[in-house]
Amino acid sequence: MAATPLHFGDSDRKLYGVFHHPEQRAANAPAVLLLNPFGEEAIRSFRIFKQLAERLARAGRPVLRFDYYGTGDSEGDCETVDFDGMIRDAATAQEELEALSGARRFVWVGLGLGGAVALRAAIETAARPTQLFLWDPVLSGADYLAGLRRAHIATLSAALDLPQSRIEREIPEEISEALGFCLPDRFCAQLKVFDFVESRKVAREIRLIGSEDTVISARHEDALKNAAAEFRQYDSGSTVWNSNEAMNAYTIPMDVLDCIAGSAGGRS
Amino acid sequence: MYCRLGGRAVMKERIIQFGPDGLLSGVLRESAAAGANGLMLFNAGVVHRIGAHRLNVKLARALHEPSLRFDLSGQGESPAAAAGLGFEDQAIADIAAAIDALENEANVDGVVAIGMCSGADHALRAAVVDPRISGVVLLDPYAYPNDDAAGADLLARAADPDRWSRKIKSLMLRRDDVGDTASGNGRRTGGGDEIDQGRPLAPKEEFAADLTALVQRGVRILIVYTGLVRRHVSKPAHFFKTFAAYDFEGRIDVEAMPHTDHTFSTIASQETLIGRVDEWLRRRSSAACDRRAS
Repeated sequence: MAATPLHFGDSDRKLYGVFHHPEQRAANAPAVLLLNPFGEEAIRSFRIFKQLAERLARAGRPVLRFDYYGTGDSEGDCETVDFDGMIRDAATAQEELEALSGARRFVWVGLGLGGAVALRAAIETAARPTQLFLWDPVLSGADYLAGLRRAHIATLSAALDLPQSRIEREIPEEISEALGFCLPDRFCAQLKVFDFVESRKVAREIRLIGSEDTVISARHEDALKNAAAEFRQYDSGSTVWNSNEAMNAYTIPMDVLDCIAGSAGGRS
Repeated sequence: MYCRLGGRAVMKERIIQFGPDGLLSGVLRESAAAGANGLMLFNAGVVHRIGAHRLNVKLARALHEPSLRFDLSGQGESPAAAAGLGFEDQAIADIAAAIDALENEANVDGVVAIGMCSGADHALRAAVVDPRISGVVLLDPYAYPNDDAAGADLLARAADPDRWSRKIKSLMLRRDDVGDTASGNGRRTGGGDEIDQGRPLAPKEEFAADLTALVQRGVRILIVYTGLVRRHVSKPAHFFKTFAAYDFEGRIDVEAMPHTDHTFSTIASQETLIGRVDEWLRRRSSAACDRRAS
């Protein structure tokens, strides 16, 4: 199956991406933009997004997956990562996808922090997806940072065989790194003020995909329902994607891929 | 050999497809300096070519040598090969193709292979069969029991008040474990004959024979052991004692980072590692330049 790796974007902010060419493209088929989660989650989801892209391409959809600046194979050091920059990168990737695919309808799939990027980019930039798949999306930046801190402590405790209480004493409340990735001050400050309570429409349709242990507050669910003319929910029965076990066992939550590939932009 | 003349070479990155069918995918980091050493970085376990915590990207960009970071067949961006080779043989064939690409695209003279965990196994085996590999950096390669290291670890645990406190709590609660240590990521550290999630341990003699072959060929070797194997190696002396029969002291460089986890999950540990590898490469380059000048 044809996939073209490429660099795109401004010369001082080069992004790495892979464009998946559609097989037997259907008329008016939408193009799909995949928005990565961040940090360790991006590593754990790499194979999932690659497989999703291949499935969508087989179903006739052009797909672009990419790394934000300062992440993956894109340019930039981890100290340069910032949330606002990710929004700009999403808009840049959308422009690239438009140019590569010639499509006029677009579907975005945002996983983890990629869900927050999708919501903000749909509100703050000229990019307009018709359909948004939000998979275990981050809807509160403060909660997300608190979760990263807990995960960082638990990981170091297990890896170094030390009590969590001791690790916790050494990790400040205001963390500057988690799970091997930098959390620059600017990035954290931008995340802390993100809380999705938007009342404007961001897409015609939103599909919220939840893994087994995902909890979405009623407040955020209401906001998502208000943000699209059509709102649907899908609860995955697969093993949670975001675990070492899932990654090491090459586990892919196939039901979620079925859900997305089967309904991205309607059946062609 | 790349003799540094001061300053840093201008580097830029380019995506390349290479290998017999052009199916292997990598990012080439180029330098204008011809005849430089090339660095080669690839997958560690199931992680794609950027490496655990993006460590391969950080190493490639910090070390200022031309480099190729790439995905072995069937991993990351590289599709599975049709050749029908076993996993290890395919990895060695892929590494040979990567060296071809480095030579052709970046005009390098000699390659240093950097591998972590299973990547270290691949780097070592490839270096044994491919004379173009002039150096290897092995991050947590195989490690073998050593009484001194085990004793040091036991003493450190015995002197740890947190552990006694947990043990007392456990006894008072009549439970085996008070649950203060996180579980669930599938890896316990430091013990057993397997060092990483089912990765089998090669016989000590086989590992020693591979290292001996490289030493005899003049291949420079840097081994870094983390806390994953601190019951086997927590000081370089433990490694040299384990392999006392092979006379590796002074011929293999060994670093121990017993307070660091296997995948370098803190930024400080990543910076320490990068600094040590950089310093080792510089020593290696200057020694070769000195030989060339004399």
